[in-house]
Amino acid sequence: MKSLGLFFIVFLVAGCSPLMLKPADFSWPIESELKVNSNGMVQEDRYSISFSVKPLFYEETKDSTNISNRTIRLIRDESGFYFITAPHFKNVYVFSQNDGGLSLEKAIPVSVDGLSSPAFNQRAPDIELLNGKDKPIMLTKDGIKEEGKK
Amino acid sequence: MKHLTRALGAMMLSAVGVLMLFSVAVVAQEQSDYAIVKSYETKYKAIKDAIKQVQTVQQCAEVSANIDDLENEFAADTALLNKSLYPDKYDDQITEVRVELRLNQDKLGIIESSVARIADLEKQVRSLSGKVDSLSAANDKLMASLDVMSKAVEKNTKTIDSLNHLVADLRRSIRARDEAIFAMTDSLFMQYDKNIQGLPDQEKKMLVGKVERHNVVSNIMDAAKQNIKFLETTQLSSNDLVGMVKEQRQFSSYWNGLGPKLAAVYISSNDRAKQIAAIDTVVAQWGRKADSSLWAGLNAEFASKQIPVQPFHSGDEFVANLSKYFDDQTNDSKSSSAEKESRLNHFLNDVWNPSINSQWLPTLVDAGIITRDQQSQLQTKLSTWEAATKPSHTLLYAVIFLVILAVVVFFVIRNRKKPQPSEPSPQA
Repeated sequence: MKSLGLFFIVFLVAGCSPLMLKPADFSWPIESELKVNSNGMVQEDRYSISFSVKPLFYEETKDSTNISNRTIRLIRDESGFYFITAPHFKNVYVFSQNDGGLSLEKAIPVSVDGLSSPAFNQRAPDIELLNGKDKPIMLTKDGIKEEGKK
Repeated sequence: MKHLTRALGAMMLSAVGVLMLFSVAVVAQEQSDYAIVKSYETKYKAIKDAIKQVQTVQQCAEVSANIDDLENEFAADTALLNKSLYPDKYDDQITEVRVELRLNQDKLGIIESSVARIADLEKQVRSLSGKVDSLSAANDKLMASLDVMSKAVEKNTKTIDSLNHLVADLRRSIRARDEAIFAMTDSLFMQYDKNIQGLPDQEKKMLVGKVERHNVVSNIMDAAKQNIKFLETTQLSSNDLVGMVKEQRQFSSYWNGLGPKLAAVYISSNDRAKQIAAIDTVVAQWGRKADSSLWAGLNAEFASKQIPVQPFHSGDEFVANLSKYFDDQTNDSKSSSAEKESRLNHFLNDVWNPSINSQWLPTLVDAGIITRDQQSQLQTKLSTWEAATKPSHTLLYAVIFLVILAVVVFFVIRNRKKPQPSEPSPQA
């Protein structure tokens, strides 16, 4: 009788867990360089995605007013997290897709003085951050990947 | 309208060419994948635009060479490009431009084999142009090292070996660069009709564009100037001096063929015409400098050994003055036999055998500075001097023979005169 109850509990839990389609690869082969429009929005045509970056600029610079025509660099990793940064930013922001928006997972500090010419490369499962002649940095959604760690 | 279209075509092709050339100069930092893709897209678009404008076989060949360059340049990035380009992948795009070019050629009635031949020449031009640039840069570095090392040698003789190696390297490199310049220019002009003046304006403009893009005029000027500087900076051996004269003559002969072609191309540009005239002057100056270095070196061979040959400044003068020296020695009736023989031996052992006959004469003949007949003439004159100074070998052999004969006769006679010892009698 006891084992029959346990079987039912397992059956119910298995039946209630959400359906997962695995494996999946959300990675973009290259980053996108997107220009901020007058409404503070950026649009990526190939992947049909657009979002407001005003809060992001406010978070980074405490100013979201003069952001029109500024550019951001955007790339998506294998797991589907978005990595965003821009020239003069001190951080790379990691976002996940959420109900009608992108929610911040982590702000990764990458430069004390601000990035001069940042660029992302897809190096699955990581994301590589370049900045001019600086040594490239490997990023995961959790932060900077230490050398030698896999 | 047609002219305008052609002009636009030429401009477009030049732009693509410049893009291709400058692509090599990638900044020495890690390039982002995005930058690679953007760079490819820019070049691909330029090629697409150029295809629409092509009118002549040369233009088709240039686009074809540009497509080859594009493929070569991005050969290592095909996987990235295939993943990143959308909707057409990299492989599809390359096929597409090749097909488009071929269709345009067919429309214009241009034969593919002509395009392929000219495209091959164009590829040679580009490859040689790169070689000229890298050799020029290497030569500049070697020349700078030569300056430094020449000064060091004045203070420290231990560096002479290194200096000699450096001079040999520089000379080889200068020669390779000079050959590459003319090979490049040959390949460039072979793409067009031999009669440059009769070329349509459009083709002439395109040719001017290529001549400019590959810095033909300034490369030739730099080469001639660097050769002069090399001559001024270095102490060369006999072989090197003769070699330099030979190279100068080859260069001058190439330039004599090329100069009028360039003048025809630049008929409407006063500045360029002046530059071409300036090259004439520098090449002539180099010729004079090479000749004077050669004759100074050869005169020094005699002077350093106190051989009183009259100074000379040309091949004919050299042969005449050395012949006169041989004649004077042959007809010398004032000196004693011992003095004459000593002079001959000094000449043979210190100058003629180690240097003039073994090094200078063969290279002078090889370079066409003196003829084989002149070389024989000198050797005959020297033989005459030798015959007049040294006792002839026949006489020497005769004397030796007579001496030996006398010795033999002496011993034979001596043996005959000796009294025979008497034999003991059997009774005793």
